Amino acid sequence: MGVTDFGSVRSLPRIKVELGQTWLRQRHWSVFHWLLVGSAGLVAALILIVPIYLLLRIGTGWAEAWATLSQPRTLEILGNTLGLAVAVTAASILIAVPLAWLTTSTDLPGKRFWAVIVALPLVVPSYVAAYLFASILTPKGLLQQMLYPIFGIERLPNFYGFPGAFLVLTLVSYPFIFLTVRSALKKMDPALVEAARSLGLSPWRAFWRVTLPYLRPSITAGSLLVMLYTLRDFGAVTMLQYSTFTRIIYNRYLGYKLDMAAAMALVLVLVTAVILILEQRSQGKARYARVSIGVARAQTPTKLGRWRWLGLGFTGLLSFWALLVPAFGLAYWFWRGLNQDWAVRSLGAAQTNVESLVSLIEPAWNSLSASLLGAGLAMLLALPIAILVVRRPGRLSRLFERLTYASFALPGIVVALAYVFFGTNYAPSLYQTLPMLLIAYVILFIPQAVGAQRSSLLQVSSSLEEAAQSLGKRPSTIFRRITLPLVKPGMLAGGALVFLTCMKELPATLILSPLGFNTLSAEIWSNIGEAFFARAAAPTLLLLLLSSIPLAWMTLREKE
Amino acid sequence: MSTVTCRNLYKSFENMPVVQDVSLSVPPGQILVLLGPSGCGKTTTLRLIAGFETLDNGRIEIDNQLMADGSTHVPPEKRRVGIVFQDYAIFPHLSLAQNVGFGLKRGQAARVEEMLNFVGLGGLGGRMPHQLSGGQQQRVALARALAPQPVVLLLDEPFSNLDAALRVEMRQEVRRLLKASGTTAVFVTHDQEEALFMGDQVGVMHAGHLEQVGTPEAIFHQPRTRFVAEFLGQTDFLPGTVTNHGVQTPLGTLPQTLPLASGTAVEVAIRPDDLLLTPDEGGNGRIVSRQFVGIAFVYEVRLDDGTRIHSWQPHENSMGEGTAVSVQFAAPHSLPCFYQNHVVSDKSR
Repeated sequence: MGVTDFGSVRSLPRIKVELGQTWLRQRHWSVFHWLLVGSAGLVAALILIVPIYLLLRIGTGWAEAWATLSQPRTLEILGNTLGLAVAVTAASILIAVPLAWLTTSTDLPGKRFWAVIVALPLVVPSYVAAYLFASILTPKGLLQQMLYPIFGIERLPNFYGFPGAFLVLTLVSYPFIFLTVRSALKKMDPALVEAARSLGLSPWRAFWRVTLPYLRPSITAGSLLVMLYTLRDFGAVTMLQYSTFTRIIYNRYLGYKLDMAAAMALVLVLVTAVILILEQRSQGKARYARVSIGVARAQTPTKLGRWRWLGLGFTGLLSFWALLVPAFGLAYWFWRGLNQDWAVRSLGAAQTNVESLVSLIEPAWNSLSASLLGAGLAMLLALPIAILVVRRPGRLSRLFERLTYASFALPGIVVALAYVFFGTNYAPSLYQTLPMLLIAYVILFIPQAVGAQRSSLLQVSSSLEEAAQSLGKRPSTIFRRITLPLVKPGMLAGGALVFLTCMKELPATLILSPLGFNTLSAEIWSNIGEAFFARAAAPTLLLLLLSSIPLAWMTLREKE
Repeated sequence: MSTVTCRNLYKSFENMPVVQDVSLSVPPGQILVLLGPSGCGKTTTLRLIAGFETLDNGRIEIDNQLMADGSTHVPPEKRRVGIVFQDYAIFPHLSLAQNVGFGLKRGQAARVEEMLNFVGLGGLGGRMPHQLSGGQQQRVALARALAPQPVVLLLDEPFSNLDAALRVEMRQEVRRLLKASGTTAVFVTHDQEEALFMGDQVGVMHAGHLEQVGTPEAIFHQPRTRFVAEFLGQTDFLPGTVTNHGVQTPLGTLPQTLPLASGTAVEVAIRPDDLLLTPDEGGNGRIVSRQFVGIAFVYEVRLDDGTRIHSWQPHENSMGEGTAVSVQFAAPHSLPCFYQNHVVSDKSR
């Protein structure tokens, strides 16, 4: 799956090219080159608007902003945010690394099946997982109701706050590490372990001294994604009432305390940026290329023997929690919804099932069209950046690459907030229009899109383009006839993933959607906000189905 | 009149000089081979001619038209050069016919078929690249590069991905095809045997410099620098001293007169076929090791003064390790002598 492309944006090669030489080369590049640079420049400008307008907004009231930030409450929120991010990342590593190893390098029964199953939580939005788990695990939730007749348990331990956020975010984000580590394991040359064995290491010691160090870069890459996901997450923490930055920013925004929201947003961006920078620093030389020449042989799976039961138990238990429990919750609430006639007694209005289902057509269409446009636009704008980075390294390309990567540090809520300021003050004609929502999608998903484009471009040997050039073709012709057809499969896979992420997106969609533009995610959100779980079930089911279709289609096509 | 002329080319990457003061010219219809170890600048020279790299300094002309100098750079697509890459760079999503026709205007199906026939792939135009063997891909790359009738064909280590037997077959085939079509070509390789076979002229490159250009025979027998002598063939160097009677070496005095003062230290290049070994208890060397190479034995001999030399001897003179031997010069030609890494001509001839 192309999912691992998330991670590849961080390992862009750093090629030093002197400025003089760069200019010399660029002088000979055509109009096509300047089109690429122009398009990349546009994306850069869109990204830069975010921090600039946050600063402008605070600009008028630094004293006030500082008063807000210097309260002990801020430190508490910072502690909550970082604590959650670290806990979720650590738990995800502990879950994902063994899972990746079991489903790739061992003779675990049904390992292909398990590999698909344990990656599936990736398609579940955090707020969906949050309400499904909450409806089951809260002190008076479904589990308590089932346990009460048998064991007489009156109350389960508290679920809201840290425990819930930790459980939910871990279960929806560990697949990032699972997928990056799995793809590293698949590419690993079996000769490495064989060499270690021949040098006298037992299988167990070979794992610790060769396999694990080899996996370190991929574990780091996946962990960064999990950490960023947690820092950026809005839906789960807000739903589960755990006060991290995103929740507080949203509450301030709803309370029209925009200066405070902007100040908080800036702090969140700084925190995320620091983590990105630390990660870059620690990366160092930890990128391992396969040195050996030739095609890797297929790996001989490690025989688990009696340990296979433990492996199966672990995989099964995890699948139960990550997939079966939420699926049960969803099925239950969907069934309740169908049977209950969603009577909203407090409103005194009753909708029949058919009417309710019909009422979902419009949000579904809105979600689909916004996500298709958003993903398409993100992929389109990512391609020039990827081409510049891969094929035309230089100062300018490196700048674009860094900026793209830096936009990882911009959570959806922050991007939305900045564009609210920008829109109301400088572009009222764009404010609360579909184009502005699409711009937010582009900023949010450009790193992912560039990552996907870049790795598929790297698959195309540059000698192919040079061969076409020596045969007398112009750069634009070569792009159309050689490069594009070859990167198309990778682009489609990447696009399917960006589409999925657009469908799941919540904060920017909530804040920037045009008035009356109701999406499935917004529909789910408004229902769970009032604890109408049964009414949230149908749109949830529809969202999961629709968002997974392109991905499923890509996976099936890959197999052919 | 030459098809390709390069004058004083300079190119560096990040202040690392890669090509320094390289001048060469290729007459029409001739094959020039650039030979050298990896990192010597031969591929960069080729890419400068193709236009994939920009010159720092110098001048490149193709067909008497200026292609590049310090301020001009004609882009690759306007240079009318064909190129065959090390990895062939066959477009994987296009059929053979579409690959070969890529550089042609539309509606030249006849030319495509002609080229496919020319390289022995007639009738296979509908196949896709992944259905081909390595040797067939090589042929497609050649047909594709030759189809638009380039002024010059550039080949970058084109056989290095083939196995040994196929490599020999393909180099005969490619040389035949290039000669049959009268193509002017520049060919880059690190394989001396390939270079001597393919080239009408061979240029040996070392550390960015073109050390010597000449016919394969001249390059092999009259190396102008110590590097060329060392790179071609299995060459040993004997320490020598210039005397009035010739060059004094551990193997006796060579009757060669050098224009150097008596007492000057020089190095004499000897190849394994330049020496005669005879078992001799009172000889001046002892066999250290013996290697069987099929058509002969190669003996490594340690001379009394510690110098190690190699010698080929026919099978009938089989000698074991440790045998004391006398080593004598047996070359029918004069041996190249080097003073400060450059050859010193023999005045007696």
